[in-house]
Amino acid sequence: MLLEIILALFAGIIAGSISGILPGIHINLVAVFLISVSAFFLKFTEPITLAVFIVSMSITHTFVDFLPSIFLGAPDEDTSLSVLPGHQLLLKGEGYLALIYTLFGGILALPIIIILIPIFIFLLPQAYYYLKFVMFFILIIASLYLILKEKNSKFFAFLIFMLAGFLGIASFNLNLNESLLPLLSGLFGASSLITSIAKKQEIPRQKIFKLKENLPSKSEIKNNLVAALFASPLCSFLPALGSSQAAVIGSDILGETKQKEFLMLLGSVNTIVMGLSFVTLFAINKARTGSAVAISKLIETLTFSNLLIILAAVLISAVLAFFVAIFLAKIFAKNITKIKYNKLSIIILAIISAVVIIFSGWLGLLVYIIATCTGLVAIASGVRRTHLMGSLMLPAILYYLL
Amino acid sequence: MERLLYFSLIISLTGILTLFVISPFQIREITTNSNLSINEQVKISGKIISERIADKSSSFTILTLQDDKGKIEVTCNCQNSWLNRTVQVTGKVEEYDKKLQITADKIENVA
Repeated sequence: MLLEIILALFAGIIAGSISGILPGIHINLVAVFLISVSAFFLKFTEPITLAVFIVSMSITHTFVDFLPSIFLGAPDEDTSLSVLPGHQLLLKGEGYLALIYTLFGGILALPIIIILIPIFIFLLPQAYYYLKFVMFFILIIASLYLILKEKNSKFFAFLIFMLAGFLGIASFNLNLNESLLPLLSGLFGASSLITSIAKKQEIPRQKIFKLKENLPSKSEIKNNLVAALFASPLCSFLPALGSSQAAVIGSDILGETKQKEFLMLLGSVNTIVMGLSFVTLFAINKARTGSAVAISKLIETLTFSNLLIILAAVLISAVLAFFVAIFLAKIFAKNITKIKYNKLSIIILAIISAVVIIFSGWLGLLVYIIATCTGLVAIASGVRRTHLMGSLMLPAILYYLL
Repeated sequence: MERLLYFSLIISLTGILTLFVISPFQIREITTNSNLSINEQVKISGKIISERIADKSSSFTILTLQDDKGKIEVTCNCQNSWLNRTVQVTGKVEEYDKKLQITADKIENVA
């Protein structure tokens, strides 16, 4: 059994590395695929072994996922905010450094997860009982906070939130397989790629920095820990609030943040939200990430010993994923200039579009095109792309309200 | 950039309206012995012959709906009891424990 779990851990790291590199592939999509094939694998192994595979894959994905976002301009929902600062650093030849900072953030997430585990286990069940009565109110407050904090046009921030919200409602009402795929790929992925292609950007030679010479300073670490500690927990158990909103809230707590600090924060919240989603599943039996949903379908009632195994998998896979991501980042940084960036962006756009058609059909392609246009509205208006998360928040608000 | 903004805005608005127009046509009216696909939006009418609250904290309830062709399970976060009432359920087909069931978005009394 122990050997099976160790093999599952390493298999998950490999799978997470592959899924993380592929643009347009969100971990939720992979989780849905795993649920559909789990019946086959359960003939050969125990549910906890499969759960460890999912956990290690998901955590690795949160580390590696920044590679396509920063180097290829192809983010998903969780990494969408990394595109702008990451891309700015890429254009300065510092894409590798941008990625390293997200990875430092991911590693710094581990002590935060450890601190929050007992709080989640002991306090969350009681707190959630009262919170669920005011869930829609919390979501409305969070949405309004993010809109009012918009530095550019608040009108466009509200408009984009509502557009994305209605698009989300319409998409979920359709007979669509994997409705999140065309929605989020269009809103965050395709719109960014089209903008990159239109700008005809050339990527300069990327510098490979030595890790030891670019460690974050003590104040950067402290700021990151404080911001992530306050912003992430809420987004780990509330529906529709994910890592991108946690990063925006966290950066507001910090005040003015440099690009690298923001990327580090984004790396932290991504890993914290994923890691704590498994604790949330144990504490209140609610799954807030696709991976947690997959585990809830494998293991009906998560025991404390299951949770300990899962948390061990989180910690070990995070450490290993850090080094895997650094290795992959060096390959990306050395080779990105060998390919015409414009051609690469077109190829990636074609791949994402093909993935949408395969999984969601022609109706999915329609949603994808509309979502892409909505994403372009956000980019052209200059507002933060986190408002596009209205695509999930508005349906969640209406669900709790009605 | 301004041209892109307005062009994208027009397509986005038009597209969203189109999706709202076509979505009611996506809801298929079925009976309990219809061939169902997972994630399909459906509408079904029948009598609720049994009701079980599976989770009191969220009011997660499992109903059994019966029509003249058979029975099917319907799940909801129901605040009210629907037992012995003739209803119309609108919802999504999902699979649980290798059985198809309907996760209700809306349950209405049928006069």
